[in-house]
Amino acid sequence: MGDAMPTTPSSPPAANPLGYIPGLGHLLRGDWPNAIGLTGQLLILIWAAVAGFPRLGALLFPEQGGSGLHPWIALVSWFGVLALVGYTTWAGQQPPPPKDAVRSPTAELIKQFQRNRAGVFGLHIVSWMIVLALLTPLVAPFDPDAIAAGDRYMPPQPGYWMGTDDYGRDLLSRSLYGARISLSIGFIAVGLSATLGALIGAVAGYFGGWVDRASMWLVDLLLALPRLVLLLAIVGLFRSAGAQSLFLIVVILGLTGWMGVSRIVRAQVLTLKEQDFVQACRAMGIPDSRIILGHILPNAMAPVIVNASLAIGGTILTEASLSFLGLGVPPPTATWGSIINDGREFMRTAPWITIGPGLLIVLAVMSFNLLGDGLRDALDPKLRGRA
Amino acid sequence: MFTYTLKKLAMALPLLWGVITLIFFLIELSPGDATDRFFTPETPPEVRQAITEKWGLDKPAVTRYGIMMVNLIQGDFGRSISQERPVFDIVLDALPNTLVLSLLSLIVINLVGVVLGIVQAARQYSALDGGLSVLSLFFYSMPGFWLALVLQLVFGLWWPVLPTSGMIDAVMHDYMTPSQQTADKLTHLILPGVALGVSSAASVARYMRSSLLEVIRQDYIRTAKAKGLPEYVVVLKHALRNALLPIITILGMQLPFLVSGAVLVEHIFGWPGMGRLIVLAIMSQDTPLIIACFFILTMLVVVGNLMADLLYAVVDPRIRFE
Amino acid sequence: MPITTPPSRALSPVLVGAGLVLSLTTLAGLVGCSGGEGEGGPAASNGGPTTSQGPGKEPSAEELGGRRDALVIAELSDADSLLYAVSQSASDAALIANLNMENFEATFDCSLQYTPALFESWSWDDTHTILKVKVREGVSWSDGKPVTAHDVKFTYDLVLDPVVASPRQSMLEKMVPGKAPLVIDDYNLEFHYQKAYNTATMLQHASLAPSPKHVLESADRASLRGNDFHKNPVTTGPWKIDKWEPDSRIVLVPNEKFSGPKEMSPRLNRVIFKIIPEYATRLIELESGAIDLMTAILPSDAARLKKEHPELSFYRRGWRSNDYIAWNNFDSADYKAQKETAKENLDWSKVKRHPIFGDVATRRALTKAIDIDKLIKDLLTTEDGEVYGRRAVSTVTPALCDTHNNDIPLIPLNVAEAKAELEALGWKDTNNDGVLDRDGKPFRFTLLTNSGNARRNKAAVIVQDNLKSIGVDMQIEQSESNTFFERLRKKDYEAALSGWSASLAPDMNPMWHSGEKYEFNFTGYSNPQVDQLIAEALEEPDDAKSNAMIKEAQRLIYEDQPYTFLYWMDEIVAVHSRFKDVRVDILSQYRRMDAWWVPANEVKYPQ
Repeated sequence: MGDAMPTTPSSPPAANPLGYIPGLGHLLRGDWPNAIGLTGQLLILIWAAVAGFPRLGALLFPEQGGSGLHPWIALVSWFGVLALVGYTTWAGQQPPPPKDAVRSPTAELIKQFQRNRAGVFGLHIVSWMIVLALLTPLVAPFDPDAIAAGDRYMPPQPGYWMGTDDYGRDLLSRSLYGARISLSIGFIAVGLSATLGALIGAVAGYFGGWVDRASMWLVDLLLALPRLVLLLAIVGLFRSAGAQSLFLIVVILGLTGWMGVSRIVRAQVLTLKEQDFVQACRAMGIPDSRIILGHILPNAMAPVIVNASLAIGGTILTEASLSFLGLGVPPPTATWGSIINDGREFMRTAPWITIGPGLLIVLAVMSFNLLGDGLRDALDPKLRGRA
Repeated sequence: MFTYTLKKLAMALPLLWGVITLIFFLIELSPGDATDRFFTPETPPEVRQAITEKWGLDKPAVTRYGIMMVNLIQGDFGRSISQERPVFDIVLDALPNTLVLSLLSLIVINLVGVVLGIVQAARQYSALDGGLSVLSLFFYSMPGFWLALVLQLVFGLWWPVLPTSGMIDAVMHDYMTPSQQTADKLTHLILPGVALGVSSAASVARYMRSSLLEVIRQDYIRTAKAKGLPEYVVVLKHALRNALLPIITILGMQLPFLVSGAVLVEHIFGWPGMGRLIVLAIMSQDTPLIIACFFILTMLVVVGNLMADLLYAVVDPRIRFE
Repeated sequence: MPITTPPSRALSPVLVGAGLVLSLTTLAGLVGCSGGEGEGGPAASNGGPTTSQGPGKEPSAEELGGRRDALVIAELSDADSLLYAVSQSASDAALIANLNMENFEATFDCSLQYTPALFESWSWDDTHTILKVKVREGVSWSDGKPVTAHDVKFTYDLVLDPVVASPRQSMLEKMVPGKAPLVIDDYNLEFHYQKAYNTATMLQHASLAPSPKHVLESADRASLRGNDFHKNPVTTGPWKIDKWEPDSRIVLVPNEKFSGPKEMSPRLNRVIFKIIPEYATRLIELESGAIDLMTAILPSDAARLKKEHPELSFYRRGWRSNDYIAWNNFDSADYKAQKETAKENLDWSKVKRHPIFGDVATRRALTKAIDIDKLIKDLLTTEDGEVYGRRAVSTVTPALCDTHNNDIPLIPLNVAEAKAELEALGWKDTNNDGVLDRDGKPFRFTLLTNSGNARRNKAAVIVQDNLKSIGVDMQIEQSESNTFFERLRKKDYEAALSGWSASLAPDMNPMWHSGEKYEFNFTGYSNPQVDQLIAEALEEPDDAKSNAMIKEAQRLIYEDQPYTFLYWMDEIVAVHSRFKDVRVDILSQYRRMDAWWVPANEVKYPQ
């Protein structure tokens, strides 16, 4: 895969001035995954501007208390994304470095990653979602909790592009705000799992002995239980104590997802700790904590990142399943899972309530999986050097 | 092999103990308990005391833990607080149903997945390969309950060819001939089995594809091809066996995944299995029932892993037991 | 296959929401005992319960040429128990009522009417405190043993026994201990009540059908719910359980040993309960014909189903349940503190009133701001305008047409007035944050509701929106059912959105009397006039007088608005139209299934 890059001619051609339009440049160079990605970002920015800037006054300075920081963050993000798009376009226009030049590991990674078209696609779709989530206050036509924004049970139509639900709430707005929450749940929970897992795995692998055996026994224990069932037990048993809150659900998701990461990190640490540079550090008297945190972990992070990317997709699915069981984030907060759950009684009368967010979940999970696969291929030394 | 099996099972005991202890204390920490449903506002305090004593809930946690462990070792799972009948009976009613469903799903998953993987590897980089990859990924990324609802709609209503709930035809099953009854049970397994298995099938297909591709690159395959053997003989006879090894390893992991999925699928299809039982038990905080469910769950995982290990050894003659 | 038009479209909501109650009341004497002494029982006491219950008597099984067809009913969850003493849910009760002969045959037409069934006849003593009952002879259990008065007493003993933890203990609290009931001989017994209460109430408490003493007397009372009885129940009714596959299905077949009247012999071959936990699945199966009867259909589906499925008949079961918002009259923290020290001797006048909901004017203003008609429109009305509910003004169901006060002037929706009234009470938005405040405290509170009830969740969200528009900030908190009820009972909430399932024998005391023993008075409502009215009404045998008192009490309560009464709901039940003489009404989802039959040319299931 990934032979989209044309061979570099011996002297770099003059950059096509049209290439300064975001997306077009990449297209002209034949790099159409990135072209599509950038064009998509541009379209999102335009959509946000068209939909949001006219009401900027009302959004930023609402009459009654209201949303506070979010519209400001959206505005700042808008400029941030614009800058990023501009930079990427400009960077694409620059002559590429000679083929045998030495690259930093990051640049090397990026180059490897670019070879996997599917992975690049995944990355772009994920970026679109993240940007949309950031820009939601500008983009969403209605307040997601506004009842009777339209009539109830309206099928998708102009003005209500994803239809309305049984309260008359606009589903596009709810899905956008839902994206913020679903994606945040995914990122934060996985961030928590990865951190926890990395620490535990590193400590277990580095120190060995009973620490290692105890940790791995705990890992086996928690892995033996299906994650959903474990979550069901925790949230279900503690729901009368308020376990059903967004914050706690994220925490519980994080606390139940670290086991895979810890095994990966442990395996990495086991190989790394015998290496010379670690022995050298020890010999120099550097404390273990600094060795682990400063030297070993950074080198072990690559598979963790791959795993994390794949795990975000899984976490989004798990959150949706929790909502389906009635143990998810309480109403009226919209998450993709809770919108599907609200709509399941109406599968016959208003199937779009479940179909829309369902497809969004599929799209998000697919993209994270493609991204994760792409990262894994890029980091896998066996694949390096293949045409 | 026998000693290997025994050893593995023995090693599973600390695991089992850990799970039960963890769940017990989880239930302990959680507020409320199963006897709440018995108390109306008028229940006088003596009655509350009597009921609490009847279920042994007046004793401190550690004592109850001890009693429970002693009973478990003797195979006594106690009485369900919500249904007031022996937990063993309740589980015995539900477990076979989930096993049947899971087994069918496992077969579907692995058969479909392996076949798809082979097809994809044989036609690598073709449009078929790409298309199947996308399709695989699509189904892998789908929430299982969503798929279940859609399947019900499509095959139960729009094109009503398959039954949408229950294990048997509620009305006519008793009047069918034995062969008709078997057919009836099989048709009822189809939709829930598919809903349960599709996403894992996609994952197996992916693994199979990459595993087979890797094996095909190996020298001994090239040698076989060079000897002039037809391709399909090469693939099926030589490559497949080795390519199957990673699939078998993940076979063990598939079981907990299936049980997770079963929680939702059983609810939607009205399948009276362990999935539904676990949900009911947790919602009513029925300690003996919850403990028994997790016990069974862990046993399923252990047995599943064990079977995967044994299968691994059958397929790969290089493996010998320590 | 001939298709009959669903009759329910003709029903106007004004009619008692009992839907197709096919009943013929024959009891004049039962209810209006003017002289203090009366006779209970039908004019023609020939030993059989009156079965003509419709425009025509339904044909007997012989007349039909034998039994035909099967009825498939979808249930949400498995039956919990087959014993009245320990069963809680309405669907359990409906099932048990089909498996057993009831003490009284109950029908409902503006009030509960009782005709003889297992109790062949009954009478009152002069003081109207002793109910003397004659048990019909010749009725036997399915194992052949005769049903006697001892069985009746045994059941009440079970309910009374604290070890059983029966949810029906309240049925005995009005009876004299030791004589609840008192067995005179094998076929005669007496229920002794502490006072002369309202007749319908007293009869209702005597309506607990018997369980077989000879089977259960040695049973472990502590685990009745799990008793083997449930695998092989011994019953008295026209049906018996052929198969019970846990969580899967229950199959009923006619009881060959049925010893009751011939008219109660079933006309169907089987009744099959299919357990389908998911609403969407039940709906799909109803539409594909896999099931014949489905309850609790959402209004949003009803219109479409009626249009697309002319083979279904629709029945309303109303108005059994309502939703309301309770405003806690008292400060819950102070109440808790004082109750701990004072316990039964709590002096209500010393408890601090709730800073927001403590006074009537505020509560009335809030009601003015809540668009109850919109709630009914959004939650209970179909797309083609059919309304499956009505506005509520009290906890007495409008189905009790003589007891419900239909003349209470409603507090109309008037947002402007609501705002003005709140302003007059000192609520202004002084800091311009969109929320009213007074003395520096914002008008902010938490509404508690139970999770898992989609309709109540929706209502809460809509109410939240209504109140937001007048500057009241209402937060919604969801609690799971057991905890929810606990908190209401302990008055540990500010406002709550909950509901009642109305009793068909009107007794307002548990909810509205200020006495401490009435723990259903969740708001702490205390009005001595109301107390007197409802206490006296309970002990007034003359219905006209007691109804008048209850109506007045309702009026007073509505004026004080301790609740914002929301709406009564009609439950929508669909039954395949091939079934005739169907009884789906306020009393039960599937009553007297032995009477249901299918014409020979419409049979679907040959077995």
